[in-house]
Amino acid sequence: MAKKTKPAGTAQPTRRSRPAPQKPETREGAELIVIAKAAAGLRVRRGGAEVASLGGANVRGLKSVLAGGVRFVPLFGNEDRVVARAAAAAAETGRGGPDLSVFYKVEAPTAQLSALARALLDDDSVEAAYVKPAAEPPVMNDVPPDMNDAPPVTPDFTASQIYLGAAPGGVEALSAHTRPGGKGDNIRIIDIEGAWRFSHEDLMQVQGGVVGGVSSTDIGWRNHGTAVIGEFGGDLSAFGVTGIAPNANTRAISIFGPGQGSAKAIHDAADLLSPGDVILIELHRPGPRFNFANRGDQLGYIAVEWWEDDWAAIKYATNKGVIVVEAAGNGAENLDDGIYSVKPAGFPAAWTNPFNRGNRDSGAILVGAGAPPPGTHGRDHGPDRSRLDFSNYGASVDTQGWGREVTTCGYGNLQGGSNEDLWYTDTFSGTSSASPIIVGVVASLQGNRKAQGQPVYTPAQVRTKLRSTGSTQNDAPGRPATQRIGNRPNLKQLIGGIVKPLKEVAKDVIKDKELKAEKLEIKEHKVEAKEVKNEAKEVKTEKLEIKEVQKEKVEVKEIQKELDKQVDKQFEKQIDKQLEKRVEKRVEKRTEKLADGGQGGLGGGGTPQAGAFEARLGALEAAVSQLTHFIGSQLRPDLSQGALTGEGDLGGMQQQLEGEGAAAKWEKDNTEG
Amino acid sequence: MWLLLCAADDVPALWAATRLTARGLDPLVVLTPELLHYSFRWEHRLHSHGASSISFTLADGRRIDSAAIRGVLNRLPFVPPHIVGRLVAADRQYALQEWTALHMSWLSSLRAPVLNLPVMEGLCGAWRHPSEWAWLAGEAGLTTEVYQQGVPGGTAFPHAAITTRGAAMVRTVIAIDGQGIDEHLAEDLCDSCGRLGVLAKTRLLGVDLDARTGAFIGASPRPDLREGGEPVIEALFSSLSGRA
Repeated sequence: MAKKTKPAGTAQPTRRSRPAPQKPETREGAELIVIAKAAAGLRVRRGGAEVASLGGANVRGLKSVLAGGVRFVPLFGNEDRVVARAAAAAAETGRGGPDLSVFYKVEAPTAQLSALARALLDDDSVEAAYVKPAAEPPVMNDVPPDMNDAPPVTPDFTASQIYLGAAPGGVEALSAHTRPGGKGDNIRIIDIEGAWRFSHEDLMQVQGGVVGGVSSTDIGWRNHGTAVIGEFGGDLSAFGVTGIAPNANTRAISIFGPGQGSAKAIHDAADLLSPGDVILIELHRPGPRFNFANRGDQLGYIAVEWWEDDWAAIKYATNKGVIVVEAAGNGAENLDDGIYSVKPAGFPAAWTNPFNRGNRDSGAILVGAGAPPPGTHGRDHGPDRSRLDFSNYGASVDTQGWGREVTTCGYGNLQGGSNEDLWYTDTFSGTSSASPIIVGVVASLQGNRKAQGQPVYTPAQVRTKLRSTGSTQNDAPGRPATQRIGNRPNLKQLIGGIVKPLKEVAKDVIKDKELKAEKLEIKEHKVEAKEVKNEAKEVKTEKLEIKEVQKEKVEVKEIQKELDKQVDKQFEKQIDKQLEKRVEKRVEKRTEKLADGGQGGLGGGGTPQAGAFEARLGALEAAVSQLTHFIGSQLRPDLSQGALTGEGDLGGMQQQLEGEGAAAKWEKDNTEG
Repeated sequence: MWLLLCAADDVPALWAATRLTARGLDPLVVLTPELLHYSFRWEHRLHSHGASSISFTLADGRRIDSAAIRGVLNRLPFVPPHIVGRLVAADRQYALQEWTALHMSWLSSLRAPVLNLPVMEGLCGAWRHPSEWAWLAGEAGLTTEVYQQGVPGGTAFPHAAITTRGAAMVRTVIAIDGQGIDEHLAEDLCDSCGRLGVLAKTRLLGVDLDARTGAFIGASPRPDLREGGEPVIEALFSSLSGRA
């Protein structure tokens, strides 16, 4: 029977058990976006109260709408300035981008937005007019704070931040901290959402506060933003938490405020950053699954780039070389589903589904939510790195972070009390908690590049690296790894010496193996040559010794002859015997000496040694023949029926295939240039 | 020659490869996405009278020709984006779509058995929304949770009961060519799993059931073949060798 089991968790949060999330400023955050036809050349004057067409288009419909007291505001700022800035950016980067001068936002009471959109679509100068539902933070845990006051000194919570630690459970952030720039040095991050607590005790060291929009007063937004920033920006100190990139400069832009919105916030952030810096979009909004309705369970919520104005703003940022990290959303949606290719009413005629990167690519890094290692904080959310049930998934989701059990600032259920500046949580969740982990990783990676004097990675390079390295996604019951959320990053692989993609590493391993084999072969040849040389030397020595013995024999014979002549016959026999004995002794002595020193040599005379060896071998064979199995056959398991019967070396096969793939790539790259 | 299309780290596929080779599918050539896409020369001909051919040469010189292909076990859900990483960004998506189209065409044009044939929703069989699987499972005679999407604890139900049953004991039944393969499972459940494969138009399908109740949990065209053991290998051998 084939079974897969998962241990029951002690406190497994599910959709059923999850408290209804707070919905800060939901419906009020809806936006009416208008995209003008480029040929119309619309220009808005008097703070949005008047509109004219440089292209001579009939804008009577627009004017009649404006006469109703609503404001028509260029979404990304004055049209001429946007055009000039885009031209400068294109000249600098060599890349064009979407025309941002045609985007407008209509400011009117929320209840009127849909009717206004329909009316605006009738105007000749209008290409598209659609209402974006209010964006929300993609969080899964709004929890009440602990009412007990915090202790005088906050404990050190870093032991709970397992995501900082070694792979595959963590992202190897602590390892990256030991590398130059690995704490995110000289990298700037801007978080885009609703509110933050920048006076928090653990967010004091390297932050620049809110630099755009107006922070919401809602505590849900504020807890959310504080928790997000704590993950990558928590101060290096002996208390509280530690960020993945604590030396990176952290700022924030709110989506709220006059003329503000998500797209404008992204655009403004891009203007404040340089290539290699990072924007984090901590938002998602209701998609078409439930007819764009804001709902408490967030089902059907998707990443914001699906809407044209947000996509254009992201594209503007990535074209500048700014890395955009975007929450994939908590809608439990398959982003490859056909529903996302259906163009909603009011969208531009040329709109195509950006989740299908075959259509077009914003350049953002989409982040899904994966399960932390089972047992983290005593809870179990399924196999490590498996997709959490709420996380959106699909081919466009690039990488995953922890979607549960994240220890960071805010919320106050780990350490609470009356002072929000001392609040901490260990249950921050959602693609909300997953995305800041990726931001920290990217900042660490880019900081290391800068510290090494290397050019920072482009958005495309960062995406490729995140996709090609890291700890792989695991299956969970009902949530196979084919529901892609990607790998969990591994900074050790990214910057810790294994900076190359796995395929290149595999190629290098092959090269190393070949090199080692060659070295070994050369070494063996050298040893052989030395042995031959020694043997030759020994032979030479032996020859000399033999000559000496022969010379002695000749000398002895000569002496004998002389004695023969000089002594009488009586002494002859005795002398002969004595001389013969002397000669024999000397010859024997020489022969033994040669035999002792001649092991392995050509004339080693190995007979006595061979005899000893054979004797030893014989003794060994006799001993082996006496050996018996210490576990009797009746006590041994019958492995022939086991599940792994005949299991081949699958790891070896895997390595071989990876090696073949790397070699194929090498061939292709080097043959086709 | 038989082909196994799978990722290098697709352990269930490699597991099956060793067993299928031992049973006689020899030579069984394992082609990873890298070997496929870093190959040198592809020739795919679609003739006016309906015949077709495919041939390509791997980087190591091995030549794959449709005339020699006797069966394909296909476990590539999509063309992995990293294989077009060497192209400029503007061309990558285009190249991916072209590769996808090529794979769909040549795999579909083979006369030999292919488990699974590519479809628009996935190169190794269709990936379906949980609601669609739930509906198909019901049609196949499997017990399913009432599938409704809505607010937990409110007016309706969790959006996907099948994704919230993580603590359940899961039993995976492999269905091949309309036959559920699990000798220890009740016959009607086995038959229903087989029917689900037929309804899903997927020759090789893994069906996840709640081990206690037999209720349908999920399905995948790229199952862990190890769950079915030797009987699944036997069935795969039969299908791929044309003895089914």
